[in-house]
Amino acid sequence: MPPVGAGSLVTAVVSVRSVTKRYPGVAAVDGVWLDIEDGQFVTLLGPSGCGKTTLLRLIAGFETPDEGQVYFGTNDVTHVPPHERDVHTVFQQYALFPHLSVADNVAFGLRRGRVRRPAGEVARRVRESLELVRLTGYGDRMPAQLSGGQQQRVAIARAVAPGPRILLLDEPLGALDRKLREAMQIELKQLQRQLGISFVFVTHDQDEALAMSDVVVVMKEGKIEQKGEPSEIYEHPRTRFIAEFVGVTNVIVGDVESIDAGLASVRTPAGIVPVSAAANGGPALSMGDRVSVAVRPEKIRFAEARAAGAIACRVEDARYLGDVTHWRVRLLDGSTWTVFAQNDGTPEPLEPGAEVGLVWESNHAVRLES
Amino acid sequence: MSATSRPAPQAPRPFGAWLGIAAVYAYLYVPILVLVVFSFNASRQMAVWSGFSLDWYAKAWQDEAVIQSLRTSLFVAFISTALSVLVGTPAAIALGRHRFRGRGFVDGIFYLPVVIPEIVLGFASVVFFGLAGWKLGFWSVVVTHVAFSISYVVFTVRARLAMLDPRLEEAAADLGAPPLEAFARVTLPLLVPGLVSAALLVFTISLDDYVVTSFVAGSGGTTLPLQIYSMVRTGVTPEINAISTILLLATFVLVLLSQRYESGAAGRGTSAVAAAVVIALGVFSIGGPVRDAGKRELSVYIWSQYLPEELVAEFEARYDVRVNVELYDSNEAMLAKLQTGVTSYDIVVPSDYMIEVLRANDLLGEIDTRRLTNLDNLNPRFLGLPFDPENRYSIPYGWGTSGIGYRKDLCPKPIRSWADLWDPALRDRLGMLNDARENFAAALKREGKSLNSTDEADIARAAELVEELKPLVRTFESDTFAENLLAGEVWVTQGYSGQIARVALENPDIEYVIPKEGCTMFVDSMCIPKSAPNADLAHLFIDFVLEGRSAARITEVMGFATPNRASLEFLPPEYRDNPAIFPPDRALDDCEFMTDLGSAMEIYDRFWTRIKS
Amino acid sequence: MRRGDQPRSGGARPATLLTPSLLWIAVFFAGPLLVMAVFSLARRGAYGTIDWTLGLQNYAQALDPLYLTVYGRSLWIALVTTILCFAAGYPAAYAIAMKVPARWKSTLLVLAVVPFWTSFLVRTYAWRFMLQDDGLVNAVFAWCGLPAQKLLYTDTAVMIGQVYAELPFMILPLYAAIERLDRRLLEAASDLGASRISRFVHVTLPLTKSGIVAGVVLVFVPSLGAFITPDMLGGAKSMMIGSLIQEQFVQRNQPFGAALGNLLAVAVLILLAVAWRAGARDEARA
Repeated sequence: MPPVGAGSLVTAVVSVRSVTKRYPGVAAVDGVWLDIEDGQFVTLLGPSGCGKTTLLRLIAGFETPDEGQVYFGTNDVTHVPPHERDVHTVFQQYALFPHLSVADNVAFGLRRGRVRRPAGEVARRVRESLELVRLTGYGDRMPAQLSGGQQQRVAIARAVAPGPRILLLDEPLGALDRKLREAMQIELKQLQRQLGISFVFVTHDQDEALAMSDVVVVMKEGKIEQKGEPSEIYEHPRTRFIAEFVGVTNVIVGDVESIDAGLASVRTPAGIVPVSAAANGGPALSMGDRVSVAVRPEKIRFAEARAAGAIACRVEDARYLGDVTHWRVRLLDGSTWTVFAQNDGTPEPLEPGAEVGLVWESNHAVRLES
Repeated sequence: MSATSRPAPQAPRPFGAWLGIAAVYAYLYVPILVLVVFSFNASRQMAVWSGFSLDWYAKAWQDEAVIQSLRTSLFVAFISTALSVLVGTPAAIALGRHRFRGRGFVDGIFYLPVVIPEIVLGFASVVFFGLAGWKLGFWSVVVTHVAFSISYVVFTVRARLAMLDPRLEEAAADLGAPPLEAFARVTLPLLVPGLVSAALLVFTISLDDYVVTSFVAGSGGTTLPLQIYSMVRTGVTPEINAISTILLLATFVLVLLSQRYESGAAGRGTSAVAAAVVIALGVFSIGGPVRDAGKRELSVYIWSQYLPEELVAEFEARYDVRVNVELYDSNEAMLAKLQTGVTSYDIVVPSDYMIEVLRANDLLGEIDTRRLTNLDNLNPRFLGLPFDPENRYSIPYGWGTSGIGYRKDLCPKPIRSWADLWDPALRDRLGMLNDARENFAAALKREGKSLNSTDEADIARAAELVEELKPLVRTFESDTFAENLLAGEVWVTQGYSGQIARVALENPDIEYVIPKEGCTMFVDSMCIPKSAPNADLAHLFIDFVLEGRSAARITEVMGFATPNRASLEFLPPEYRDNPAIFPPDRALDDCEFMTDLGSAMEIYDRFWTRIKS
Repeated sequence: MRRGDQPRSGGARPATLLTPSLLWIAVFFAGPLLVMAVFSLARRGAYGTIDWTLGLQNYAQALDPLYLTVYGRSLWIALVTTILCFAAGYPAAYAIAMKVPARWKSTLLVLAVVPFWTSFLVRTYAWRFMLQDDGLVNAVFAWCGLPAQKLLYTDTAVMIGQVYAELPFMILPLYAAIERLDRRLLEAASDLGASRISRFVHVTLPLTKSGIVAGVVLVFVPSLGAFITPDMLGGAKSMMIGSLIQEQFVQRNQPFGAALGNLLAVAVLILLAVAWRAGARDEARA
């Protein structure tokens, strides 16, 4: 079985091969394989402590793996120090040099070490980079004189100015308020398209991950749980952890009772649930298998309590949010599910305590790996 | 509502706060203010304001010894600051930025120099230099200052480092800067405020250190605090206030500038002014050595107020040499320095009994009397004294007695004998020398015993008497007893004839008496230590002092009598005919020289410690 | 070394960075102390030479009851100095940190240090002139209609001078600790109904413990070895451990002086270890 995260070895700009990084008592990154294609916006997503930042620092060169290698293209950079790597980082809290002006911050990477560029070229590239992040005219300010959002832009300009092949972003939007964050998400995505380089973006915010990425890499306890396009991650989470970490989900466990035309009927304490019997990363289902089934709340519709194929439940309460209503219902086995209903005018005469049925398209019931 | 009706915890009560702060700062600043104000006082008396004057500033500027010590102080401070910052900063970085085994231990090591009492470090260092054979002088002061300054640099720089985001260095590396460049372009500039405050702190500590420096200083290492300490032996003069005021001003400017720098408000101008002040002080500090580079040097280790400035200048001019004058305040301190074996003094001026000790320790070189053309000027009575019968090691410099000074206007009755001191009417108005031997001498003489008694019963009886006297004593003082008399702080004081004779010239109500039971008499003589690097020049110097005119000037400055017959014609009558300075022979009949008591001294020490505890 | 450390601090290893300073301290600080440890085992010879017959006699002598009163007095002076410095320093540091507008803070802190730019000998002499019978203090008393006091050469004068010399060393660390205090905790305490006093005792004091420990150490330790101030302002009527040691140096009993010095150093280190542990416990709890 190919390791999760591995892709084409030919077109990848970054290849992380079987990398392990241990800290006393814990493996922060544990045997990870990951390939990042040229021009991709890749997001490392996971709860805090899952190893996503360590993985980013391994790529940047701030950490050296205990095992495994890191390749840039076909070059093994495992032991290359960060200042010799052709990647730049946008840091959490920006890490702008407080003693340098905005222009000098942006120029820092242009005047480095062995690379001596003519002053005119440095000035031009500083100007272009600031233009790119829409901070033209701010060159003479000091970082402390800028707002959080502006500092964020300077950090980005500084990192892109030397023209890296890959930009690493370590939770760069974490310090911004929600409105600003959403605006920056769009800008960052545009910037990435404009530059045509790979972005590796670390976040614990699933909305951010889904909204911006070409590829989302979900991590847990130092390992990659799943790698895929945002829709794939959302619609077909491989594990219960992903299903619950990315978005809201309802999970029920049961045994396969029958298989008919590729559709398995799973007997659960709350009733019979239909699920696709085809392979979903794992082996095809057969009779008697014990499976976990996940259904997203927005895929569920209400029906008559005794409608055919409906799962019976009782309404507990409702949370009215304007565009949608979040319903909490209790199934026969005692578990609670969440149902999102669009407020599209369809009368939904539900009162707490009402007995209703839940129905969904069978392809929306996702089998999870156990 | 209850939450808002309660007084908010930070409700400012600025009035009370300001009042408290004002009280504390008044306490801190009133003495400083007094000092500054009296530096402009026309009178020498600190307690009396007698008009505005800048004379003390002029006087300080012309006082070669003071200026030289200020130069030394600044030079020591500059070099030890630079070295400490240079050596301490990498350590701060190692401790602040790296995790390694034994870090806690190393951390602990840096705390040691801060917490070990100064007296211990000073004592240990001088013993160490002695064993290691390192010359005491300028560099011994510098390396010791650095040894206790490094820690302050480590703490200060590390605190600054802790405030820096470690990601800044990563960001620099990430942008392609190699480690050294990242350090130079990011870490170092950001550390500058920390380095500046560390430097200021260390500079201050070095500039003000007295205890450790007094142990490890040698020829060329007399710093301003040592000079001041010697000068205050005869009472603080407004000259010292003037110097303190100037130093205060200079450093105040530096501190303010560094503050501006730290707060980021500094422009080019601020930096330029700061640099100018530092450079000016630096140039001043090396001005002396540069001017005198290449000249032969004579180091004189002598009591304070013994050698007039103009004689030094005259000698320097006559032989085109440079004279270092270092001062001590007791024979024992001088002996201790010589005993380290790592001094480079050419002339020392010990008292009688100390010459025996120095000889016993083989610390003195022989004097070639054939080279002394003015030897005949000496009164033969002062040649061939018991401590050096053939004058092979010593040539008398001055002599005096330690008797009693008292205020005729304040004392209920005239003082004529030691026994007069045991008078309850003198309670809290009596001063005694802070010296075991002199206190016991008073008691022993009162009992009609020799002040060199080694008889245990005699000593025990004397101890009883001193114990009896102690409740009457206002202060034990070997330095400013004469000033105390002048100020009326004490009415009667045991003291050396010279200092009391000097204040008696200022206030005719002061009288010096040699008690009728007799007292200590001493002769201070010039000697050439065996380790003297420049014995040749030392002979020239001794001969120079033996000139009548020189001896007269010396007597005027120190207030002690001169053994020099030829000087009498040059002395003003108020000195020549002053019985406090030149007492009649019969007054000296019962006076004795002190002799070294060997192991009996331990008995005195024990009783003395008991009396003082 | 992990390569991950490399970008930091000019790429040098900690050993390289530490060598110069540790070497310096080893030679010019630890070296002397070591020499002194050996020295303390020797004997005083005639005329102050050293008799290298090693033994513990100096330590036995140091424990003689005769000297215990000397230690006791030094301890007492250090203790009272520390208490007074704390009593005056804490309110001042608190006021500077909490009550004063931010732009005044650094100025006030600098002003607390500036007196130290004059020689402490000169400062102490300034106090002598203020405290003497016809000095400034008595002049102020007279102006207020109070009777003149005998101040110079008393214990009061010693305490005034000692506190004067040490106060800034109490204020600075206290200020640093109080400044770090999270004001919201104080607000929370008040919100929970704590009175001002109980808030101070149960919240402010414990949270500024690190500063208190640092200040107490910085004041107590030098006070323990102090002797110049007690001599100059107290009239040298009682011996201090500092003057006892100094006297051994000049009175030609250097081995005994070395033993006394070692005992003082060890006492201070034990004290610090205790303070350190108190501080460490505090850190662990935080």
